[in-house]
Amino acid sequence: MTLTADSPRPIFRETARRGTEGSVELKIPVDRLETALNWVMSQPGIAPELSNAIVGTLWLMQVDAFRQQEEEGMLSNKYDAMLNDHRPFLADLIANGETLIWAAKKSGMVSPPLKFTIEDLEATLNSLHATFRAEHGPKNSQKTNELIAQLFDGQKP
Amino acid sequence: MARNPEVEQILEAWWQLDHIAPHERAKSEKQLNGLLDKVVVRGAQIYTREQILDYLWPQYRDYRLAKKKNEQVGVAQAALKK
Repeated sequence: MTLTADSPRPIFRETARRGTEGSVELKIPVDRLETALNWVMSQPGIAPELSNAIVGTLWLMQVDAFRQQEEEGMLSNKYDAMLNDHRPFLADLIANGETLIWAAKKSGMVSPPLKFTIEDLEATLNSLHATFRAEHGPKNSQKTNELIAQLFDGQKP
Repeated sequence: MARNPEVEQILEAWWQLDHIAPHERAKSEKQLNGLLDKVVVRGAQIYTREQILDYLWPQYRDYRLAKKKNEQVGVAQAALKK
């Protein structure tokens, strides 16, 4: 069985709603997703290539849910108040992504229904790293920002 | 105030990378990096892609919020049509 964003499990059905494009949008509790993820990863009989594809699908769903939650926080002006939780949750997502990509490179990954590749997983992971650096990492000095701004302003006539 | 068109392009490419379907993400990342590299080269490679993204971060947050608001307006309009 493969989980996709369009195949809701009964436990998630209560939080499902119809999206504008006809497919079902899910609000998936992260702890349930993590339980599913850990369960898949702990199965001894499952082929690693298949396991990586399933874990990859679940991880991408977690990332999408995370992005959605960030934006809902921005929309409700609660984003800054969420930042203390944002950091460890993002770090967890990054750690899971690193492990997944390491495993997929080592053992391979079957082509999943969502058609993503290991390179797509890496790009997603890099986008999370970029968010972590920008939100929680070291900041440019004011002088650096001024000089970078000039690089863009130089384009204006 | 209208944004610099190059900044706008980078923000859109960044937003795409965060939101596009999973199977398009490697391609989307290449596009973003290509745009950032143009700025890196123009700056004589003194600044990294990461420093440019850090500079753009506050604008990117505003951009995401604006996109989210537009999306909600679109959803509301679609619901009204039904």
